[in-house]
Amino acid sequence: MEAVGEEKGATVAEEGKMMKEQGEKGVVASTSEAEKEKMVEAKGEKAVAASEAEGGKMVEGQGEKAVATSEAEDVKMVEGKGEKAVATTEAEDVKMVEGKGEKAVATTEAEDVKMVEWKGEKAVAATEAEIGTSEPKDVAGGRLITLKSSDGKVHRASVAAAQLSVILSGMIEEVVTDDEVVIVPLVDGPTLVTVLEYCTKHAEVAAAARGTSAVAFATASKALEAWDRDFLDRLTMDALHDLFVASNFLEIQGLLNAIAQKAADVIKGKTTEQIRDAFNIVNDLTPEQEATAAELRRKYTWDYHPEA
Amino acid sequence: MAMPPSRSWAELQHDLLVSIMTRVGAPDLLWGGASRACSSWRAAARDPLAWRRVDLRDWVALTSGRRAARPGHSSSRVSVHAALVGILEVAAKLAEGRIEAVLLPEFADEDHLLFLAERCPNLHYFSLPSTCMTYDQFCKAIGGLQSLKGMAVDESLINYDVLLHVHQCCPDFVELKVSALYVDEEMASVICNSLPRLKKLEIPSCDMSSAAIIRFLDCLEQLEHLDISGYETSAISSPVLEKASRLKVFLWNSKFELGEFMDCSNCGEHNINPQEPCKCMMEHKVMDWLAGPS
Repeated sequence: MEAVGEEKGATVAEEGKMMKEQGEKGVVASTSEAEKEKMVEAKGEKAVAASEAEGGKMVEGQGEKAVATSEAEDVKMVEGKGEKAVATTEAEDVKMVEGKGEKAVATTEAEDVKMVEWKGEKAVAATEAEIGTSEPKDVAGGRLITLKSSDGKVHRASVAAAQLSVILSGMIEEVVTDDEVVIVPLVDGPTLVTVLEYCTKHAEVAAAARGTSAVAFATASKALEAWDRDFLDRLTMDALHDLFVASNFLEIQGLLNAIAQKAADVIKGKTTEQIRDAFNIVNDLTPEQEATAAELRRKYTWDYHPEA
Repeated sequence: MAMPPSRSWAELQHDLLVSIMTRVGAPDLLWGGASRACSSWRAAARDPLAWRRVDLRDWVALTSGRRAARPGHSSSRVSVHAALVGILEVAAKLAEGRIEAVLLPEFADEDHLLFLAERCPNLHYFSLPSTCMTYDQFCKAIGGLQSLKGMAVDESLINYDVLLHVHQCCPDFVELKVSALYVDEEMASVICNSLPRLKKLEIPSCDMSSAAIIRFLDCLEQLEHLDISGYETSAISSPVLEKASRLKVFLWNSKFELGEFMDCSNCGEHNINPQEPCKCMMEHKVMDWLAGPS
């Protein structure tokens, strides 16, 4: 049993390295995509499809069809169908369990393309190129860690990404060998995949920004904030809810803050009923509390006449 | 895949709901639906932590809510001055006197600042756009705000004696934002001489002389963050960029020194509102330029 486990671990490790290398190529592809982006500004969707196709070419072996199918889902996500995010995440999860890392690469590329689309400028492409430059270091010197979510699924991530979580950082310190699995209770597979997506992005940007000037740092920070918003906009309210709970449990303060801001933006300007609909809330206020609320409203009004 | 059952945000932990409420803003907490959706949201909306930072700049939203609350008295007149005091009273109560940051509307004056000094002595930051503040009343209010770390004020308050008073009364004061049309070396000297320990200085949308910028960079040794963005002819030169390289954050823009680039401005203020996305092609150009010599 142990021998079989080790063998699988080795396979997953190799797969992880392939993922990293392919990710690097994907970033370079995005750079060239940025130039195409300017020429076909009005046809963003096709550009995304082109990028996906290019991504597909880089994937060797028997996984191409599966990747193509997944990339179709990515295109739908670009079309703004938030519900697909959950399915896509789950599909991604299944593939990772099977030991095939193609989907992760495709997802990364899709994100890169969206960033380029959003900015439409070479600055972002150059930033991506920088991230590409830092990838080899991660591949060569960066450790990978194996995480198991509450539903028993296995996920690979770089230690640098996982360490954005205070909880995971503490768990990793206990790990003796790289083959050991860190068990993450209370966070299911789809949610953990989303968490790691966020952490990986932030770890990459932090690595690329290290040692740069104040101006470059400010530039990278703003681009990352835009990425965060785009990242959260893709999620359903249910996925956002689960991510919120997970970021709290795992103590990822930046992610928790971003989700709280997102929820606050949804709340602003809405009536009580609209809020209940948006957040799936059942009114459980007692008649006394309702009456108190009405009284407080009158009281607030009275406060506008302190001289009366 | 089957869609999972829908989650209810009513069942989130209290502190997670509070972290949302801290970002909702006073108008929605007072008049919107957030505080009445259900019992757990009501409790979170009334938590003192939700009232540590109060943004009252958008007075239209506040007054619209007030009118809605009194449909039968829409014609009644309450001075905006008194109404603002009323809202500050409510906010101070809910915060249990521990408001940390307040952004006041344009018509707020020294009476409102004095109210805050009396009821919320632990205030860390305030924004007070008024252009006709009396020095003695302002200084009196400052005397009661010994925990103050930063403030955003109009250039009419940039006076050596006033700022020195701030420096003397508020040992932790490190952050200043000024609304000004033009800053010359003399005004820069006043700021540097009276507030030598500034770490963050924001003077957006202001015409500023090169000498003034250099003065700030030379004299404010502990400066980490300088924002002079938002104006078209900021005097950015090689010496300025060289001196600014020691900063953690340096926000500026120029359509002329580096060719035709888009404006970049820091749309946020303090840490109440998140910064809006800005286009940073120009800043990236500077990054390339700074990387060139090395």
